[in-house]
Amino acid sequence: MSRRVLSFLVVLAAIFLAKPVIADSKDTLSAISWEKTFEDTITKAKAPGKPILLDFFIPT
Amino acid sequence: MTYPDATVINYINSNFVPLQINVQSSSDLVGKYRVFWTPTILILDSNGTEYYRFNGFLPPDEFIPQLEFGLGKMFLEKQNYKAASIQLKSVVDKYPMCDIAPETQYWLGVSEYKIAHNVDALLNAWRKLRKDYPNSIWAKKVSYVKE
Repeated sequence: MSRRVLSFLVVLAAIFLAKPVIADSKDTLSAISWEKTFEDTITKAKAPGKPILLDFFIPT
Repeated sequence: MTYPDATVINYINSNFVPLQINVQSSSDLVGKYRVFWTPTILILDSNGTEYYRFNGFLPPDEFIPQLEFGLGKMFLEKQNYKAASIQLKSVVDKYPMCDIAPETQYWLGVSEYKIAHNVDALLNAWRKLRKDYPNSIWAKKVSYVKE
């Protein structure tokens, strides 16, 4: 009996621990992965030959 | 706002390495790319060479076609005419009513001509331009083409 209760608690704990991880990965996908510097951008773009989107903005 | 849009986020993350520059903190790049207004959006190849730019905020249904068109122009200027043709055709097929569609149809004709110097392909694309977008400036540019 106590084993069953223990298993139940372990599953419950796993669910609670997994939830923030799932939420975090959703947050990652819900934003553009902006690079910080031109040099890093070129390095990342060159290997796969990917084009670069460069957005000049002014904070509002 | 365009950037919080999920379709825009997915499109940019999948097709570009994106870089955002605050014009108040990076005078080097502002000078290099001759930026005098924001927002200024540039499409560069992986070496940092510019191929397309546009200014001003756009809603997602115009923003994504601009990006896709920009990639088509990049292929065209790199003389990769088959890739340009596929990319530009995809823009006019997917977004026939967007503001960039008439210009896309114009350059689609050019890319199809360039593949094999096929004059018929060029003229057919430009006839379609005149038919589908008769009031655009791009239709005026091909107004000498006979029906």
